[in-house]
Amino acid sequence: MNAYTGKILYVDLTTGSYRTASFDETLSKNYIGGTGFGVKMLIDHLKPGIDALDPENPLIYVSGAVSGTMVPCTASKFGVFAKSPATGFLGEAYSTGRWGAELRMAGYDILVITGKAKKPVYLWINDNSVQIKNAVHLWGKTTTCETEEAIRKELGDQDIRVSCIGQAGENLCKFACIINDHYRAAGRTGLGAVMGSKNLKGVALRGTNSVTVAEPDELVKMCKDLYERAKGPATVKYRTLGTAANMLTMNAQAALPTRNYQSATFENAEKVSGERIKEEFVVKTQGCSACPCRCEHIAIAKEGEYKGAVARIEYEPLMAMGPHCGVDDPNAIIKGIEISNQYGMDAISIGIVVGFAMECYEKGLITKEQTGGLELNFGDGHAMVEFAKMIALREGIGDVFAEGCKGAAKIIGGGSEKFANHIKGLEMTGYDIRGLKTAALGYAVSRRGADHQRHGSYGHDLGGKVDRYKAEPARGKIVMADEDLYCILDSIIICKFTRGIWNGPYDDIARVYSLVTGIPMTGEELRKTGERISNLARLFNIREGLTRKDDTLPYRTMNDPIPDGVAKGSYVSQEELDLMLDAYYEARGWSNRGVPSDEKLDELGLSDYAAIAAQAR
Amino acid sequence: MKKINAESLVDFEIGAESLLKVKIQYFGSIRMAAHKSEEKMEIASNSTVYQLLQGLVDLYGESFREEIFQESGEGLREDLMVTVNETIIKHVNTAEVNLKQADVIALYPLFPGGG
Repeated sequence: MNAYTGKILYVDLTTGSYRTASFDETLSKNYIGGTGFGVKMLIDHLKPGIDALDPENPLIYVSGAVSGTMVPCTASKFGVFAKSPATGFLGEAYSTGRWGAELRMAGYDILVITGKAKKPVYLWINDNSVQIKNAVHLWGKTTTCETEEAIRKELGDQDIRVSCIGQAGENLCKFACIINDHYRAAGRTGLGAVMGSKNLKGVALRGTNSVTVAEPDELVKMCKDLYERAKGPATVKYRTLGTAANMLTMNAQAALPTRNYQSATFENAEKVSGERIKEEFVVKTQGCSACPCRCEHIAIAKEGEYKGAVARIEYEPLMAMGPHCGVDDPNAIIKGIEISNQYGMDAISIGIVVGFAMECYEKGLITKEQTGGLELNFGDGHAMVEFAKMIALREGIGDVFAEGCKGAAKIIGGGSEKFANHIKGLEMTGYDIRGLKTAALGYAVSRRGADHQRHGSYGHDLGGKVDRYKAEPARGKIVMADEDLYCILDSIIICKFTRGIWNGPYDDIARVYSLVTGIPMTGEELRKTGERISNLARLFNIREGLTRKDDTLPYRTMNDPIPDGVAKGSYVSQEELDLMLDAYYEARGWSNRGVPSDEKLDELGLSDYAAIAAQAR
Repeated sequence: MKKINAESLVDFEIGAESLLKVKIQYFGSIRMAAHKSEEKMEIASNSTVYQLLQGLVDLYGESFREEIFQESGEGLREDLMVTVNETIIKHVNTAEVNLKQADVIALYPLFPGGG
């Protein structure tokens, strides 16, 4: 095979041993890489029903199909998979930077880590050499300087790439993430806690092998074209302003989560707008390996107690620690994002959890004594930052909120579950979906919980392709098509910022795939592969106990209408959700309980997994 | 207020008695292309949203066009949100949506996430 190394590295931290295995073109063709490899490996390697923090929960790293090649905006990506501590279902997250390409250049497409070391360790993979190194001196340290740079210095090579956890992962925070290349994160579903549960501080990589491609001359031609497209109108906005520009858009459309979703507009949105952040706080833009987009906007806090804090600015964390917490001071938000990176927390979830805690505080469910003296009121940037640290370190009542919204609400009680905004245990993201009905369906059925990135269906509502306020059966096919396409984007793995440069888009992607790997692939075959991966992921979740009742939305989304703005009065009723769910299941060829039919599994080549579906019927 | 270039709005009869006064708001990268956050304009009374957008492209040039229209030149970008009086209008209908006196038209680029 070209591009693929065809090798899997298995590491068992309990025994301190490792082995390699080979895979052939069948896996490559049917599952591509990224999501496809991750889901396939997880369903085949996870003992059903084990706890997410059990040593035998495999932590799986996968490269994308074209990692390490010259294909723009794809070559640096990688995915991480495990059973999620946040949801108990499929855990998956993607990151970029340079680590993904390095994994393949080290000689592996897939890395599977199981077991638990007796004391803190890190994994050091240097081409064919695999070592388990002492990390006792790194335990308790932050990610970027104290771990990533320390490992480079210790191993004496500045070109080493490190993927690691901070204190949140060590402390098994349910939304701990894994950080690489300073500012990049495999952010969602709590995979940092899985790493921490293994006493694994990080994975250091150095690869010197070449990645071969099947048809270099044709690929160069196509990549030149893609590079031009990637520098052009389809992506220029990511370079100039970045996703933070969504702030004013969501605010105008009453889709901006504010004060724990008690409002959908923020009166001080201008103060935390992408326009203002760019003008006053962003000091440079930078990019990933083999990408001309240069979309990373690095900002520095310029005044106050957090002066000098550094963070990469994107809409989601800006929303979560800004309007969602009622905070209008960019300096505090930048510090909050920096804390997320340094302590290793999902920068979306931490903002949603702190906002949830603020509402608990204002409703008298937690006290000032419990917060260590913090007045945890909406709008208090200092309290937001300091409470985020308490959560990462599990200090005081931070220990409770480190369980995430769902877990914390169970402990706190007092009706707090009615404003704990999560789906399947994963905290909500930056769209108030009460007035975005297509997105509401996408969120409800997302395999990893509350998520805008497994379907992107908010684009239909906000782009005006559909009536955003109307729930109708046609949304089922829309969400299905989005999900299957995103499975392919996340399997190749293509940065979604560049979704606009791919014509077709399946046809362009299939052509690149074939030029790189030499494996014949058509656009239609690729679409079918996306559907296969979607169904296999569903089967994984079903095996872990998922039923139709889990395909739901937060209580507030379904019971508390938006109180303000153009979407005032909007919410998603159970009847609306059921209508769309039925249509979605039917479009997928699933029963009304959300279980794939035998016919569908046969059609997709998944009949080996039919017993999972049969048991759920 | 200024009057939009009559030649850019094809077949319009622009007369003082037939002008509509509208406000246009620009957000995100569209604001950067227009070099302003909002402005008031007088346009012909039978203007549609689509015609207004074409006229604005003529005023503000290539970088603005790239923010509004697909590279093919036909149709609006999928990641563009257009509202009239805060209501999202469907792209396919912009040529059929007639503007009224004192309408507020807002142009937002959508920034789908990367993750």
